[in-house]
Amino acid sequence: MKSEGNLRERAYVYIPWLLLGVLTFLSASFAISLFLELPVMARWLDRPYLVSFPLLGLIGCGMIVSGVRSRRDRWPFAGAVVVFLSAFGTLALSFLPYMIPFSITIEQAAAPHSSLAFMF
Amino acid sequence: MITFWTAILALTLALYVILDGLDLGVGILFGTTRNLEIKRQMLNSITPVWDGNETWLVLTAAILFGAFPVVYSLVLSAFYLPIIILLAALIFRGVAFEFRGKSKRLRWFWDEGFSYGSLIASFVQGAAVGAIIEGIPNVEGRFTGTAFGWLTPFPCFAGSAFVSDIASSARRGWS
Repeated sequence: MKSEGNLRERAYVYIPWLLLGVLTFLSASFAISLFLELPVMARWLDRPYLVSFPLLGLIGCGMIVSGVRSRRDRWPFAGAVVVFLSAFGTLALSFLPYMIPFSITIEQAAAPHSSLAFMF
Repeated sequence: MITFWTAILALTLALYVILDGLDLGVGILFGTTRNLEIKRQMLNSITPVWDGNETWLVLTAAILFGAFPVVYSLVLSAFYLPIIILLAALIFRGVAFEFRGKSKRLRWFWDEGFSYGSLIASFVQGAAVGAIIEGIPNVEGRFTGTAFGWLTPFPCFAGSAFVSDIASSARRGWS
């Protein structure tokens, strides 16, 4: 995951633009979901605490930006992982307890206890 | 027991997305430069880890198969085409990765294969996530949609979003 010289410099030039692209896409898909009135959006009104996950994503963006500014090589990747985890957590928690959104719950989907225990 | 397997499934899926996101992103960005020295550096940065990172996908699928068979059957029926495309792209990517170093005349072909394989794999993953968010039509776990249900505007948009996500995560991984 390490690189030096030319490639490293190019990476630092690209990161802000790619980050901007990701944020544009993410906010656009959020806007489109609102517009389409996907059933998942109703959950956000029920569970206001979900907002903490996008905030976590913003912290990740902050880590990336400050890492780029100060050329601290470890920070941008750690920040990207935080952004990914926040998106992942947002998805998972807005669907809970469903595994396939709004038709199959985790309980319904799970295999019988005996096979779960066997694999364990 | 259910909680345990749900947690393991979430863990392997998150690991796959984070780790293979890096490899796929390097693959996508690999197509953006003609500089051979930079291409070489890009590949060297993932050579030791890329196949290990992809193995998490196998583990995720195995857990889905064993612990959540209903979801496995539903997802497989709903996303038969995208999953085939995904696997073909991943395999082609792997072959291109190994072959490009050995071939001279056809190196351009394997280079393109590596970056397009990565691009297509990321797009299809994003489109599948988009389709799941929209909802998979089913009656008691039996798929009732069509083969191209994942190819509607919202999933496609999600697919492109995922591609840009992945590409930028790779850039961050290098620095």
